Amino acid sequence: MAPDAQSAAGATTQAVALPAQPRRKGRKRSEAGGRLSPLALGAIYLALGIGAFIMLIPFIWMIVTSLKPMNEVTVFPPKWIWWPIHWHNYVDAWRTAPFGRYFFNSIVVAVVSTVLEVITCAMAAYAFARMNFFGKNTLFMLLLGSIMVPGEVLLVPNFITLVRLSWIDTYWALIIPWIVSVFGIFFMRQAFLQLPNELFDAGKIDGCGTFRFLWRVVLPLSKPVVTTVALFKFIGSWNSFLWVLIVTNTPNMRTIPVGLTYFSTEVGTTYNLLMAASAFSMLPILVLFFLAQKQFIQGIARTGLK
Amino acid sequence: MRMKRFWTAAIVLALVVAMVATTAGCSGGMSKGSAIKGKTVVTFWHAMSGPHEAALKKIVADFNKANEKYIEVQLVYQGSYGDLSTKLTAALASGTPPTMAQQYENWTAAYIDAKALVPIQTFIDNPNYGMKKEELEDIYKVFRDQNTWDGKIWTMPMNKSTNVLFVNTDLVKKIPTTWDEFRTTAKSLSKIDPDPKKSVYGFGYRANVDQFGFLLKQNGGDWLDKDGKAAFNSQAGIDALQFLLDMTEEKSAYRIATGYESDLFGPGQIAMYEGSIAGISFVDNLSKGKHGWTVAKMPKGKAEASTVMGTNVGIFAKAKPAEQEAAWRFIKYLVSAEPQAYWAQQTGYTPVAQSATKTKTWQDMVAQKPYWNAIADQLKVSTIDPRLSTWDKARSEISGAVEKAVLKKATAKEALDAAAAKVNEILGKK
Repeated sequence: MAPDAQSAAGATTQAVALPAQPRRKGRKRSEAGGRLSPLALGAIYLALGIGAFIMLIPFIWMIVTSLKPMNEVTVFPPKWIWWPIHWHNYVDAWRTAPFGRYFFNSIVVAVVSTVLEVITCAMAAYAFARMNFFGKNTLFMLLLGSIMVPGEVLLVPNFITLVRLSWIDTYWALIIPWIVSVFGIFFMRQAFLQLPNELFDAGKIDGCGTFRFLWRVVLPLSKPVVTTVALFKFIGSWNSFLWVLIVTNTPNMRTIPVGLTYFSTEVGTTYNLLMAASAFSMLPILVLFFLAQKQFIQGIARTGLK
Repeated sequence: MRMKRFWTAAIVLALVVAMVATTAGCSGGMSKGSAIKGKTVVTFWHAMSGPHEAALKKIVADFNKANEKYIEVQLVYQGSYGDLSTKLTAALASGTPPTMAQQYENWTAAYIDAKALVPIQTFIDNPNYGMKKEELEDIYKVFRDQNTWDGKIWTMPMNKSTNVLFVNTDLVKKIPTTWDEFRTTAKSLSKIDPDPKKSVYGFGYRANVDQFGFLLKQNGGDWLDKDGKAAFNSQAGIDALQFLLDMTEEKSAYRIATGYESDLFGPGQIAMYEGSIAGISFVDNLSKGKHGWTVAKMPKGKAEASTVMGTNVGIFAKAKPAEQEAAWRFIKYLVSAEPQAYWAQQTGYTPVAQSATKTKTWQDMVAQKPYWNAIADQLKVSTIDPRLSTWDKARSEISGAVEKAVLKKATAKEALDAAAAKVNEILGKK
């Protein structure tokens, strides 16, 4: 499976690169020999289709398993189709843990921390990219250096800090420590650096203040970057497990990944229910991804200058 | 807006605190010599999920109901054992442990060193609400030993299991009782197809410290010698590992690379495996409609042997005396006959109290599932693994050695000798 997937992935990248070429040549397209032949186009779609299918297999596998009875789950070679379909697994999975509450918490935590992180990162990134102050580079290096500290090392000290703040088992503990991300700052800074200087000069001449400039000009122009940072954050927050478990004590404060552990014990895992729960717990991520996809594809920052 | 919400939250909090304070102040004590005045709430951190958690919840609910006025035990699920351990480490470091928690012996050893626990012995000895001698001796000796350090019982056994032989009764006609029978049976059942996915093996195992441990002890060996030095590379240990290697070589045994043994046992790809009795609910679900199954005592080598596993429950020193006492009263209830029989029936964990086998719940269960007699019987020959705080590290070394030997990267002797040297280093016995 693995080599297949790799070569298909390679084919996909190539296939993606191909149609982009004529476009890059812009208006000269007709001179350059016109469109791709139907055969080439067919080959591209085929390669893309195979790539997409391979990417989809784990998801199909998840759905298939989630609809099986337990005694079919580990049968090898696996059956892809069988009867009757066990829709009830979804109900059973939902009832295994307080998933309603977990969903609510996951959404609150992910949304709030994503919004706050985008704000803090944008401000910090702007300062690092466009402002001059004493020790700027040293500070930035320190910030980058902090990426190298593994999370496990920080777990206990962070926990103790939260205990001192009496934040254990509150939303504060789930959100506040996660509203700054060095990766986000770095990523946004690089994007802001690429914006043309003329924009900043124009802003200054028109008497636009720093904040206003950031919110009204820089961020709208960096939509793809903001979307990327936000999406990473959202997914990270959605999947976050150990931190949530450590800083909460009641089911009321926990999130979906904690719910997913209910299906495993040291002697066995209830695979079909686990897959059902995984399926419904990734729905919001899926929806979000489709909504944000446009921004990804629009990828190239429009400079706003002609 | 945010400020307003903050004040609402503060007022609600203040009201709750006030309410708790008044309820706590208004009722009298529990019994003579009791520190419990009013209602005492205690927290119990555990790692039980699925059917195991459901059974634990029921036991706690029964206890809470019977002690409605005085004690409320609050269960807090903390993920897997690994997660629970991380969380306890963090909580102890910050001075916020629960009243009681499940723990493995090697964690307990570390907690004792850190003076984080109150020995359960303190409560057992209490003249007013302790345990009588016969009550204490009702607990299987192997479990009492496992929870004793320096002559004191520090923790109480909770979810204990023993290893048994799982058997596909459609394939296995006569359950093997000795190593020789076991090997012959496994060989006769193995049907190797050119397509490895269609093959059936008589015996399936994971190449790890647990599987090696069963064989080591059945072969009369042990992990450590009297001085606490590694002894598993003795001739008994080498022969035990060689037995596994030989069975693998003749294709009567199959090494399971990942996943649980029951995943292959269910669909019938392996006819037997040795593993924790706590897995029966999974085996049952996976085998349903495919084949019959049962569990039996582990086949006997030079000696009849099995290991006990699972965690114990301990009370933390940080808790107030009333909380500690309330936790003790719960633990005493937990290890008594009825809850233990119910626990075994629902989860497959073995009862820790012998009197559980006298209850009606147990008798009913045994009438349907006679194999439980064999399990209770096997507890008498079961032994414990070392309980050192460094034992986890040693375990991974040994697992590595077993895997190396099975993958033919070293002979049994080479692998075990190398592991023994490393284990001695880990245990500081050089």
